[in-house]
Amino acid sequence: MGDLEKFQKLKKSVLLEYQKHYPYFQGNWKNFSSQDIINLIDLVQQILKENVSEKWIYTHLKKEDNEKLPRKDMLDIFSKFVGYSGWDEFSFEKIPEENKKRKNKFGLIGIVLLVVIFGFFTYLLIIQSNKNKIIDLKNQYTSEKIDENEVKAYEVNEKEKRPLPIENSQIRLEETENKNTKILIESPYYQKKTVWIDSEKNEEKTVVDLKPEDYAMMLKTFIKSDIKDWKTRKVQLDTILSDNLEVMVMLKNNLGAEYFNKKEFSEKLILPTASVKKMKVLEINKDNDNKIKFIRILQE
Amino acid sequence: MKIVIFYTTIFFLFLFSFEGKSQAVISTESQKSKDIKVQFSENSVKVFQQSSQSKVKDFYEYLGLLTSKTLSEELRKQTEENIYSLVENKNIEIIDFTSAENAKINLQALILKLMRETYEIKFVVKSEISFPTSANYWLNSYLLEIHQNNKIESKKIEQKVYFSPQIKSFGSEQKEVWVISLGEISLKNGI
Repeated sequence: MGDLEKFQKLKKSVLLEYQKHYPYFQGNWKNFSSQDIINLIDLVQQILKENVSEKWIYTHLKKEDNEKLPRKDMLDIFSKFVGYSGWDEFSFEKIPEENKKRKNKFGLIGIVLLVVIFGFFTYLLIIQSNKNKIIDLKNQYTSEKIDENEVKAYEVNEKEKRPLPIENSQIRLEETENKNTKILIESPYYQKKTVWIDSEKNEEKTVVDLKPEDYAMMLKTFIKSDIKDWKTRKVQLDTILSDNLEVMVMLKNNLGAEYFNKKEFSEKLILPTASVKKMKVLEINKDNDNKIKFIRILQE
Repeated sequence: MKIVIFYTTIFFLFLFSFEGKSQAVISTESQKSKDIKVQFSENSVKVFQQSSQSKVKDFYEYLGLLTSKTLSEELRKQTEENIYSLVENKNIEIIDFTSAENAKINLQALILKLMRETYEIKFVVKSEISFPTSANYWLNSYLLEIHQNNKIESKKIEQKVYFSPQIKSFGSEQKEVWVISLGEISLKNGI
């Protein structure tokens, strides 16, 4: 409520107070006569020992629409006249109870509305995160995380085979319109795995165990090894490698390739040098006897 | 009769000349197919040259292993086999690294000398580069550090590296593949 509105309230209160002293007056400021003005001036003089001019009453109290607030000292006088310590108390006190209740009511509704909106968005967020699926990849035997450099994942449909990033041994799938999503997981060191993800299920995480390819894992170990145990390595290589083995070593930027047979490749792994340790296995194929018949390597 | 003999002679003369020409064509074609620059782009040759630089390092790593005092007879033989797999042939002419005179020696002889060395040797290859190709080889140039008995000796080396197609056996199958083989070693500029 603005100050002018409060002043209008003060004027009403002054009239009511006047009527206590002059009960036969039942009018309003419009028909407040000159005699009433004199009576009011006398009352203020008697009660407050303050002087109020007739002109001021005509200018401010009798005027129906006040364009500006009167002087503070006059406001104080008439606030005291109606029982307050001054204008400050009157203007503070006189906020109607109905407005207070309305304010409180609006405040409560606002809080409730905020809670509802917040709750709605939280609900949406939970639903959304549930729609984003996570595939957790683990080594079947050790339950350890896999090295994402050794595994590739793809989302497969009729039209394409889209690569999916793997981070921290996890694949994150975004919400799709498809009910079932086919995920293909490939690695030279693990058996190929196909996983179907049902988007309508509320499970956020699916754990997928990848079964290691034993011979491929042995090759990986041999590549990183040193001269120690070279004899054992030689025997094992003869066992796991097919006599028809073809090893394709891809050179930088795929600009060329070198080819090694079983004897040549075995020699490299029996006595690994610095260059052998920079080999990265990309693909392994086995024959019907489960021996490795083809290896594709990237020479880093 | 004379006419028959005459025309028969002319016919066979013509036939032989045509065959000779095809032989030339075939031999030219077969020569071209072994020419590195014809078969590979400049960038492809560069990556094969980089691979040859790794093989040079492997070569010296194996040579140094021969001087190890803990080397068993079996491991010595295996190391020898690995060395021979890298080179054009067992008798390529190289530098006798065990002598101060930098005399020429064949690879087999050097291997025997290295196995009798009193102190272990470590060979370190540095600043290796490859020069543009000839038809079937290029030259690798590098600084070879010979670490022995707390002493380091450096030599500027030039080595031929052959790159050519060969028929290689993969068990029961055979395939023609291009093979990098390390060749003769000499001191650069005779120094």
